[in-house]
Amino acid sequence: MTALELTDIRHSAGGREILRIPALSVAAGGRLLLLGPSGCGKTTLLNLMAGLLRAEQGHVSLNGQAYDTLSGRALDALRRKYFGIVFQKLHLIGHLSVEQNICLAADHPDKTYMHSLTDRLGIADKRRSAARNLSHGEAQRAAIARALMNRPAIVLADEPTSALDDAQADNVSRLLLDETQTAGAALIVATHDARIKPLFDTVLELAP
Amino acid sequence: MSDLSLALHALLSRKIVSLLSVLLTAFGVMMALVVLQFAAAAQQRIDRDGKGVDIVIGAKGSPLQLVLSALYHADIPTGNIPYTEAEKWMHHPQVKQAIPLALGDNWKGFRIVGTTADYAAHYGAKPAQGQLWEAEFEAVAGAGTGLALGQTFSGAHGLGADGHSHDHQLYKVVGVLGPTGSVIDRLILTSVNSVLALHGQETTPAHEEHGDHDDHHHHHHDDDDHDHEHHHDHSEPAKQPAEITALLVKTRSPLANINLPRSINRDSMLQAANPALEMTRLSAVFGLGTRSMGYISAFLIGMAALSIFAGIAGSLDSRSGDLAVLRALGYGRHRLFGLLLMEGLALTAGGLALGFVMGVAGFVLLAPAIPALGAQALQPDIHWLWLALTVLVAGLAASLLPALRAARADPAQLLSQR
Repeated sequence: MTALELTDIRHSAGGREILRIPALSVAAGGRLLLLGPSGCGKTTLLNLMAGLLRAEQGHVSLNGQAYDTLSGRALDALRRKYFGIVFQKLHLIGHLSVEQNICLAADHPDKTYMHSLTDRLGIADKRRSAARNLSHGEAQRAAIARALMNRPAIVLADEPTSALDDAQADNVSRLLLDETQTAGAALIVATHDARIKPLFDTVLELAP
Repeated sequence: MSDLSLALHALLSRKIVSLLSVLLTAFGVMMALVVLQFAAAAQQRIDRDGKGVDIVIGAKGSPLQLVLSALYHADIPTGNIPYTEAEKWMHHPQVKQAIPLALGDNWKGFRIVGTTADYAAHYGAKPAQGQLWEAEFEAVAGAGTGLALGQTFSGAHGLGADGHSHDHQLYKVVGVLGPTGSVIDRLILTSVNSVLALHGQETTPAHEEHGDHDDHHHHHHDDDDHDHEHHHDHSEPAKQPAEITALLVKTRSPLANINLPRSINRDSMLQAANPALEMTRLSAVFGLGTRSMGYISAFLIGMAALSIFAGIAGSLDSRSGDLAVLRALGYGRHRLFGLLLMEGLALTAGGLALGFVMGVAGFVLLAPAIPALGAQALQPDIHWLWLALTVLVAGLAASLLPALRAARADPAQLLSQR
């Protein structure tokens, strides 16, 4: 069953076309790697998928529901229900605890699920720590937990391994793959880091 | 995590700025509250003490001074008047009741008022202990004077606490009045003749005519430094005093409140003043001070609103990433807008609550220092509600613009910049 579908997408920035996707679909529980150098439109594509940006041309739809028929409020609700996002710079809210950051993603947070997530990701002992006090590795795990907290259908990850060494990059990628598989969510990773290419079945290489 | 909790955490993450906004709001509210309380207390005092007195008759001079001295006991009298002259008006057909007052002495700052039992009755004052005076130099103490039943004391000359004492003649407290909340609580009552006898005033048998009085007998106590030679004759106290200080008059009709003072001022050596008119004039001046304080309060509240605006608006840039993350996590524009408004309201509510506590505490601390205001008890009224609403609206308005800006921001752009 197709979860996310993009057709005839064109998007420009600063008068220059940065994205052209004739057709792209991601099935439920699928894995997709968007590979390309900086400036090729990977983040823009993720934003289009999450409904944070509206496509200038073309259509994005989730389970048959076209984004361009949805109001801004409905798109916010769709994103909150179906998407989990791991940002390149993680974007945890520094003054909140790890637990609070994770629970921001759900309207009625399931604490048991949150505990199981933090246990699996190895940050159970950091639940009450302020996010600003975490190491980069801990913050990355907390960001992954937040992306999974609302039991999303699709997890989007933007450059999750770009600043990591090989071992760490492999570790984080496997974490993402394992956790999304456990959660039954599709995973779409945008990166310029070709090291993780072998871990994905489907790879879309974007040209600059 | 509820939105309120999220808003409070955001405020706590910038403690100093938030505290400053709360304190500024609190100071504005405190000042406004204290001004409101003292203005209300002053007005109540004016209304309560002046109730039921339509005209004050006394010696010529300032009508406001006459009213303040005879009705509110807050000024020195304009002088004394011959009783025979006053008596003409006491029995005027338009006069329903006339209460004579003889002023001149005090005990520890509490005025000794020579009068009749009608004066106590006028304020609804009844002896809680003992009884009203019957003989000369028997006194009845107001509830707030601290005098005890059976206690003797000597009156000091003048109306301030530093006059010389009439040690040769002591008053005896034969009654202590119950509290009334009016000016009488701070007075010591006795007979008119007791006051006059201490100052060598001649008393005459009742109804004897005194055609040879001077036209104007100046009050003896305007000047505490003058030489006193008292010639007291207490062996046979007379029933009718030679002089009194003032008459408190209740008329039979509202029309008489206008006509009677006109006649008295035109046809006699006396002066009649309308307390309502004089106090309205005084309020116009006093109100200016209250208004000034009100303006200062409004200014402070305005400053507080600005600080709330500056606090929230100033933090937007540094928080843009956090707010963009919330948008990315599915928080809608309206929810983000509400979140920022909540921050403004939380600051305002905090300042409001602290301001009320400070205002109440300030009033409780200051009120005893101004006993004449009779403002010992807090009197919450509709103005408190208006003050709270005004401050909340100001806080809400201050957070409106930053909230709009945050709600309109493009999360994709902000996340890419951060």
